[in-house]
Amino acid sequence: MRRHRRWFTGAVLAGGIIVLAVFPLNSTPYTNYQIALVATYAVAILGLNLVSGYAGQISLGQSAFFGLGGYCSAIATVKAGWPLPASFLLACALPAAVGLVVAIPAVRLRGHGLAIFTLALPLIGVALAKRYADLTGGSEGLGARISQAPAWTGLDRDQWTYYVVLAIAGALFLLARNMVNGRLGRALSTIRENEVVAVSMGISPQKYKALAFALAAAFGGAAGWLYVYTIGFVSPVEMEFLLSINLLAMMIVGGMGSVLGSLLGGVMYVYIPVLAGTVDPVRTTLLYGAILLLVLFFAPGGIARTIRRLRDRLRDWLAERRRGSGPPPTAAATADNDAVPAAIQHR
Amino acid sequence: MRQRYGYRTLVSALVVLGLALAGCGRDSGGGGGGTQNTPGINDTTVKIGISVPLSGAVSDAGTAQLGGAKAYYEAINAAGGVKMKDGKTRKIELTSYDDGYEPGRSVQNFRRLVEQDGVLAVVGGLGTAQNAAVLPVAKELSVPQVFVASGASLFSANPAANAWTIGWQPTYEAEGEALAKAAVALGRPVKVAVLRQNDDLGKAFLNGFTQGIQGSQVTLLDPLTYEPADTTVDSQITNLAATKAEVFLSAVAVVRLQIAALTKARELNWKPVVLLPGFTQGFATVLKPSAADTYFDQIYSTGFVKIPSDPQWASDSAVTEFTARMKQYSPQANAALPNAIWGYATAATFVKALETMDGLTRQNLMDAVRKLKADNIPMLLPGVGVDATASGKSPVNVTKLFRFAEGKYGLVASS
Repeated sequence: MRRHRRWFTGAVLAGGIIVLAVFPLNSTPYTNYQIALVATYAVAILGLNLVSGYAGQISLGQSAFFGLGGYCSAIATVKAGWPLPASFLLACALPAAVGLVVAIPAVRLRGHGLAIFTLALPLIGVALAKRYADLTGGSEGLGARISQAPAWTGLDRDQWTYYVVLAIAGALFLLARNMVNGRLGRALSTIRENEVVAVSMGISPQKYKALAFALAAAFGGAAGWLYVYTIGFVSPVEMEFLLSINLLAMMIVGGMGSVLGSLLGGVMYVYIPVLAGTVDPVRTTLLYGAILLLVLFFAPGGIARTIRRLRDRLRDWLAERRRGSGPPPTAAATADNDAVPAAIQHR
Repeated sequence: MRQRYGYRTLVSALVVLGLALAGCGRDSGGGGGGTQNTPGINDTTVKIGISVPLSGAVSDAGTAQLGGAKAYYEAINAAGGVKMKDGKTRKIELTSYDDGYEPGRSVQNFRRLVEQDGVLAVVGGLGTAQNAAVLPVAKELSVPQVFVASGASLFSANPAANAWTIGWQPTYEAEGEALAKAAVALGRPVKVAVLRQNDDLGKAFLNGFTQGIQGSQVTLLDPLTYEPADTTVDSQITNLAATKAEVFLSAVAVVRLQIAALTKARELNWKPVVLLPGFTQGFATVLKPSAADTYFDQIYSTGFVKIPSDPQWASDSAVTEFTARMKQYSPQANAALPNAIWGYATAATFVKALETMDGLTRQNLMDAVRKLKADNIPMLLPGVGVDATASGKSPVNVTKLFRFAEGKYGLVASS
């Protein structure tokens, strides 16, 4: 049966990749850029998920790393003439370094100390970006149209952007999935559940929290690079605190401690305003709040976890039917399954 | 096991990807600036778009900006439409999207307006960074991005490089320059103490002022700065008051901090001639809360539109018409915000451009915009008009000086 399931998952994945690969060839540039933005924000939320979802440390500073990554890519390519791959590495490495420097003192704080600490990052970031206008373009921002389809592909700029952004985002998602499924993920969820247990198992909470924070910053920076690659522009607005809050909200709605949840968060970050705009744009914030509350009431743990639970129930039910008669469905087992924290339950 | 299926998936996906890439293609994307069948214009309608913040922290301003524009277009439509040079009268169809004041969404809205809605032009979007992000896209798609609502100079500064973009209102430089006139007009050697925002907005303001005082008896002391997030400017004001400067250019763009600055100056018994930027000139919002209205002898500020609440315009036909139209067509927008007036007058400017278009293409529209000269735009002050022919300047480039006296701002005749 496990083999069947693998084949099923494999087929779904392959189908998804095919659809995503063919899609941009016939859709409008608007839609292609829109999906590239979904991938971009999903990466930022994924980073946030590492520190907040898996390690349980609320961070309000993700927008600062997002903006820093954006500035790294724009300044490195436009002002310093670096090649794109080098600017991408910088956009990951510099936020990671800043994240580590911030994290080392911050992880010593318990409770909401880290949240308060990270709150300062967007405030400082916006002020610095405006002050060093010679470098950053000030509040007018910095244009950087770095995406350019090579002639041999025969693709338009939007199609090329779509493929590059989705490929990089896909690679980062794979990387994150492997990390959270391995030792790092186990260590982080142990720390989140009980630090004393973690210490007794030889896991240093401070070391791992700092690592998670630096990784979150690196993913945030990578998302900033993808943003500049898609939009061709970065300004202090991209660093603002409100983005941090929105990313955090979308992470909770999508699913804390879930890779799939990060993707869903990205989808919702981009499409909720579009959806709200068709009804009444003035109500966008209200709609955000309503969705957040609905999820907290009816799908605690986020949409991704609810999807997984429904899938598990469906599978149990199917297995039961196939087996024909016998004892009633393992209700107790299902309930147990629900009680397991999302991160541990996560595969 | 795990390895094998992953490998298969990857290979099959790559094969399909390759096939797809080789086999497919699409017609040229985007709506270019073609000469035949220009998108957004037919015999009866002109379709235009706008992107403003309708949600988030600045939604009030965005709603007012959109409301003003809508009120003007609806009134024009109700009267039949815009009579264009080819003899046809067209109605204006305005599509608006919310960008939440996020540049990324402004760019996406621009693309959506061009590709999905097929607009002729995007008119009067709000925000500096938001429109700076759109500027290269407008250039790439050859779609007019006209009459941008921002005081930054970049939208009008270089028409050769940014052929598809133009600003509308006076720049921060122009405002600073207008304020300089008040200092120069004192006619004696005076020192000016300056407090400005620590960014390019503050710098632009001061640059204009510096230009305005050139060759006069006015000298500038070292400017001090503040951050928009600051909670107090007490130490800056204490230092500035210690200079005993005769003039105080309080180029503070944050209402809360302007109140703090003027209050502190009053507490220190410093009584200079005060120069205020348009952002923080309000009687009810700034002068009254800080009691500056009764303390300082001379307060100057600038402006270029008629303020409906100002009694001197109570019977002005343009103002009464504006107020009535706002009530009728955009009741949800706050007509007291300057953005409503800007949106309204911007719409009037755009209608003038449509009336003078020689053909029906986007290029024709840009040509008409660059040649536009009109003195009769509603809501602009007497003597302020639209002149887009002055290369490198914004279309509205005259700013008038006001002096505050007896509870209201009065136009300084010589300005």
